Amino acid sequence: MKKLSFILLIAIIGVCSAQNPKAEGGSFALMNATIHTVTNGTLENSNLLIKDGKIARIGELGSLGADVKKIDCSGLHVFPGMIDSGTSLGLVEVSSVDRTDDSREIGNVIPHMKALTAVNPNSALIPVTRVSGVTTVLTVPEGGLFPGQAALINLHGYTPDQMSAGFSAAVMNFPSSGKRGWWDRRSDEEIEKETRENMKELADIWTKVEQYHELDSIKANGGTSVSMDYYPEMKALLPVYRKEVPLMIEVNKEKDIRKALEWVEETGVRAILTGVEEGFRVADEIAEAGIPVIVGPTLSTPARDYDRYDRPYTNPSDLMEAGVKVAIRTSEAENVRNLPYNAGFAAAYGMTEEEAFKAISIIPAELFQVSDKLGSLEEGKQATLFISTGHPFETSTDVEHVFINGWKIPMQSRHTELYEEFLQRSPGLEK
Amino acid sequence: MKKITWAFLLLLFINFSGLAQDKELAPVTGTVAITNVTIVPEPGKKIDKGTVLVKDGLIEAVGANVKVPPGARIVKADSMHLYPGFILGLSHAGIKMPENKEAQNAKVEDPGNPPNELAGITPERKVYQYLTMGEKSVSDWREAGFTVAQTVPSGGMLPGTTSLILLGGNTDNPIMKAETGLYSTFDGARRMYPATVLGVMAHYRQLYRQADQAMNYSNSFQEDPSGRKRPAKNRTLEAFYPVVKKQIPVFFQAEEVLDAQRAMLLKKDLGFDLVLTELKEGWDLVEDVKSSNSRVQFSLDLPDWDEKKKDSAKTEKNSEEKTQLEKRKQEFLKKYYSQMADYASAGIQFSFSGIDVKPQDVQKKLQKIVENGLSTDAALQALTTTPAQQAGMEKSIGTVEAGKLANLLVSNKPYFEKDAKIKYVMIEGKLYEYDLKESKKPDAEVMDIVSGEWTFEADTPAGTMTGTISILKDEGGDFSGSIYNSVTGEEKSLRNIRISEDVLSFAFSVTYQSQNMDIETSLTISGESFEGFMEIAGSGESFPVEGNKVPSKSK
Amino acid sequence: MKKQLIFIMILQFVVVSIWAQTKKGEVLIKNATVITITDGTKENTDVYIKDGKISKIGTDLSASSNATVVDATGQYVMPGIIDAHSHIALDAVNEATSPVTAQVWVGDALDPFDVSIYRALAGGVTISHAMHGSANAIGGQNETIKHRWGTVKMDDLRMEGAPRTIKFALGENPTRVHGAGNNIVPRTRMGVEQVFRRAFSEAKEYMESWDEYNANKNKRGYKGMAPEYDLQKEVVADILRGEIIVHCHSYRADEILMLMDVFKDYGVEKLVFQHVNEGFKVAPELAEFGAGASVFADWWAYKFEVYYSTAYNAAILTKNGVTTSINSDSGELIRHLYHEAAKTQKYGDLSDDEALKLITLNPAKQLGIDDRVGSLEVGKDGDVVIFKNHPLSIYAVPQMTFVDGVKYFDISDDQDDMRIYVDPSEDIDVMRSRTEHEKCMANAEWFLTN
Repeated sequence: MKKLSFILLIAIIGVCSAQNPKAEGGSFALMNATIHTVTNGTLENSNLLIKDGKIARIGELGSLGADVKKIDCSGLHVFPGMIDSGTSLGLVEVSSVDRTDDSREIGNVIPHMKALTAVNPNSALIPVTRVSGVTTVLTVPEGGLFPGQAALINLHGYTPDQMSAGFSAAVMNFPSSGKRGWWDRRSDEEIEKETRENMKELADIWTKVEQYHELDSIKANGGTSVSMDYYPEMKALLPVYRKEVPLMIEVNKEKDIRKALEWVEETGVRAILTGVEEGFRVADEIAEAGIPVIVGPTLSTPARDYDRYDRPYTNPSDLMEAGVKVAIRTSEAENVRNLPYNAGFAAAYGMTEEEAFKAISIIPAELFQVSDKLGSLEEGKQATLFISTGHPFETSTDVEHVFINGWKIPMQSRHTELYEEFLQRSPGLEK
Repeated sequence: MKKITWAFLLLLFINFSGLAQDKELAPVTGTVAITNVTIVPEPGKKIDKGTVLVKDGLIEAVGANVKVPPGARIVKADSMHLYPGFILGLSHAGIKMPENKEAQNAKVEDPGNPPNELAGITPERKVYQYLTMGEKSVSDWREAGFTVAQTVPSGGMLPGTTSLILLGGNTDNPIMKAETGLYSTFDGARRMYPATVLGVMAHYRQLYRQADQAMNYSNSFQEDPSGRKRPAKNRTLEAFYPVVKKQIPVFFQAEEVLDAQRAMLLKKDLGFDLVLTELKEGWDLVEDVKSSNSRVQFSLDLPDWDEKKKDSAKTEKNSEEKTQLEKRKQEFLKKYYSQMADYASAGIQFSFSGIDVKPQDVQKKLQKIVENGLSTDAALQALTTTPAQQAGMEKSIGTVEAGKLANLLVSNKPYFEKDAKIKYVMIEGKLYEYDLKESKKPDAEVMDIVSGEWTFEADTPAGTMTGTISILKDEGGDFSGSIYNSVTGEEKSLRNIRISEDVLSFAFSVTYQSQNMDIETSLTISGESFEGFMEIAGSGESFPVEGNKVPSKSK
Repeated sequence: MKKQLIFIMILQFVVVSIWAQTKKGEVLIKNATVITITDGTKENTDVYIKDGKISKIGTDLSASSNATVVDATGQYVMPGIIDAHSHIALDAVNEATSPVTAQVWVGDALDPFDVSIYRALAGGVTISHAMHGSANAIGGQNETIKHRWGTVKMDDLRMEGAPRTIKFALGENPTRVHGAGNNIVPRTRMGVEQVFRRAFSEAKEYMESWDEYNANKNKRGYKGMAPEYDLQKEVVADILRGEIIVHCHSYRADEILMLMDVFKDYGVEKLVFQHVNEGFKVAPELAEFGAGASVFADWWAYKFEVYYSTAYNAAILTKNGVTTSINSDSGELIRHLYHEAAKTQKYGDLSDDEALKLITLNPAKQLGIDDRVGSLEVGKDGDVVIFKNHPLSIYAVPQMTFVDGVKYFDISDDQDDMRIYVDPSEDIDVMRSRTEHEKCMANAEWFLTN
């Protein structure tokens, strides 16, 4: 009898673990935690109530209903979910297998392409990323001058809509004046010519957007005689032209950054510079222009042979000290989980721990116009956060729980599953 | 009707056309005396107001009191300077490799084991197979004062065997010494073994050891063939035999400091006699060259040393960083030009090679080298006595002395002085004379506009000839181009494209009624148009030309 | 008197010629937290390096007046980091023209000018294994180099006395380059196996025919021809003789097992698997064979054969008794291998010593140089790095790096522009340079070199 129930028990456990665990909803009370609010300091021995997907309360929680699941967080830390401001997560599964790469569409000017459309909610990369506390990422299309629109997504949900964190923006790859690589045999003259042509094309596009804007305004004001053909490219650029949404401008080289600053001044767009590899060379000018930047990856090699070895590590702090608002990204897909370490190196080389953490939490939330929902632990914001044994910058820290929009995420991924199966393989050597 | 007259006129001039670029003086007698000239018979010696007497290609007498026999042609070289004709350490002068487009695009079945021919392994190639004395490179080197060159086919890791040739004189018999060395490079093959420096190094070891083995076996076979398998005939390996026997050295092209080390590494492994050739970055290798007992030929294709470009930095921001970088660049520029002095003071003899340098730049580079510490005597040694010894030919060339080949050059000022110009070059008694005209720097505006398409209209005695000229500037700043004319309907490539101030000049050939004639053109460019004249070479007859730039199409 | 003079002159000559080989230094590091790797971690301890070797580890040590003395109070000293897989300091990485290129040797293509060497030093890495790429089933021979930055001599980089190693490769790269690219076996993992079996068998025949020739050649009247010299077979024969350690690029469990089977058949024992992303699946078999594993900390999913991998690989291998190291295979990761090793505390909770062994003693074992380097022990080479903060912390910042007791990196003495040679004709505004050219070439062949 006893034996039988034991076997039964094993069978049940077996069934359970074979099933993919689901996220758990409901109300949760995180008790006795060190709460890193990011915007309002750090609260020792405090509590946080999650209800209806939101942070209902921080501090004394009073009496809790029976439905509230208590999680003892003594000795643990609560942080807002980390936000990666530039990835290809969801668009790319295995980068060297073309059929699994949806990050590049055909065309040089295709701002109407939407990254959110191609996000695969079932990507194996997503659980691997979120169990490390990275809960939200900007996923960015790649390619030509205007490769499409980036989308901010939360790393939980069964449809792209469920994942959407409510922000998208057109991306622009600013015409580059450098060699593309060793194989680039173009002469300096040719490069200059090509850059000039690209700049001319940009100017042409902008003239067209202006015309499109005028027509659209006339039509909006009842100009019935105006007929407008289907022109999705212009339609997509219109909110950028009208400064309703920011334009994400990818630009890296010193010379190009200067040109981009000029272009932004001429057109008056609401720009965010991304990449900004040589930002430290132009930091004061960027600060003066009041344009925020998204830099990274921090873990990369210096652009020039004669650059100091730690330039990529210090670039974020150099920019910040000049007065620039700095967010940090990984530019990764499968390695987005290294976001805290990209920020951590910025902290080891010039930023404070708090500043570097802001660069992957509240600052991206502000840049992406979602600071009312994400980026810090405040009452009323989304319960998108994680609980860990220490600061996420340290590799000795384990992330114990992750919540996204109030959903308690299963702490499982391909990597943990394989670990559990193979740490002590059975059968071992015997046949 | 009009066209026929024009053709007639052209035909009239044909007799005068086809002259070489350096205007040869037809020899009336084989005895020539160059008189009243400052003679530097060999490095470190000098004879004021001397005479060099040449008879039938050899130097008869040298000195201040040489008696000139009656009937000798006298070349008065008052206030000029006479030197032994220069010797070029290694070059491709006069070599015309067949164009083999098929081979360039060949896809072999097994890229790991391609035919030697395609893999650039052709050490058996000899200079005489490819030597064309009419090649422009020969006359260009001659005009630069070089009378003898070691020359070699090009292409791949083992392009061929080197020969010593005369750069003029009796052009029917230019080869002085047929096999002087084995030429080697680190150039890999395209998408087949050996493709990289890794493959080249490994394959060199393999070929060399196989050659050694094959040579020994073949010797044993020759001594006692009975009972032995007949050795396989292998032209590739046989080309190594004289190297293995140390009869000739390997000339390894090693421009960069690492390539030079690699060549010395192979020498250490395999034991051949090594001459590093076309060396550019040798300043840190003085000790290694000395201890490995290698010899050196420096490249004259050294980086340009422009006197300070005043580039007022647009951005003050990084000026400190940029100043620092500029300083380092200058520091390294100096190393390229001062290393020869270091080698000289370490007692290492060297000569110069001319694989990449343009002959017309040589004098400028040499002057810069002298400016950076090399004595003019040592420089002259590197151009005369050292290469003569390296080739084992010091008994016939390298100095101005009785009995030696009459290879000389005469310049209007001491050769290493600024603005010195070569007036005469003599090779095996044959005299070549050159203009002393000053060439001027090209105008910057003209340099900017000259590339592209131009239309032209020439007002010939027979009527109007129209056509197009296109000029292309490559990455290295060299020009190439072509001309199409409506009369013959041919498109021809342009030669000797030069820009002096605002004047663009070039030459081209037209074929008319199976006659070939050279036309020299000189155009003064102003804005987007030009005016000038075309001259049928040698005829003195010219006619006006004008034209305009075709606006470049934007994509 | 005269004799004495001559003796002194000879002595000077000997000393000079030793110095001319590679520089050896004398340094005294004081009051550090000394992480020895093999003998625990010692607080407030001095490390004294003399003539390039660790001479003493203890307290209150003193040195001669020539020694560099470093006060490392509050700082950490550990052995120089060793990278068992890199392609820095190389002019050429792949001779990708044939499935077997055992005859080539990256030691011929060393590039002491690669600024990646200095950047590696700035990350505490003193030794790296400069490897041939992975385009070929049997690639070229590798070179173990010491990061003696500043020299222009290829020979100065070589770690004198380090055992010979060679690169093998399995899976997608060789099948893609030769099978898919040139229609030559191997196009599949079946073909890869047969490439090894053929190469080993032919080398064996080659060895035997030389043995026969050598046994007979001095006999009277022998007129046989020697076998034709074949450098490739010479090298493969040396593998069979056990003179070369094989480092094999590998990912999938099945191909890892295949190679061990082939090696058993030919009696080859010295084997280290590189990358070995699915090593965790066959950890017991690896341990039984005695093969090493040199892995990435967390790289995965960049190609199909690493889609089913886990960042817990190093931990699983370590706990199953496989000698494991963490490598960079990259001019970027090599700058922070200490951080890569630290990731094993997140993925598998390795102890500090276990984690640090992955980048010190274990790679030293895999390269056959653990008698010389990999831990702080008296008599070992004076290759050490000083850290501000514990090397496994995110706040670890290398302060000084020594090779043979000579300081090659000092954070307070960094000149920004550390290039050895400068190309006078390069345009300083352009992000491009001599070594970038080489690096990018390797990057362009990325699928070949990983």
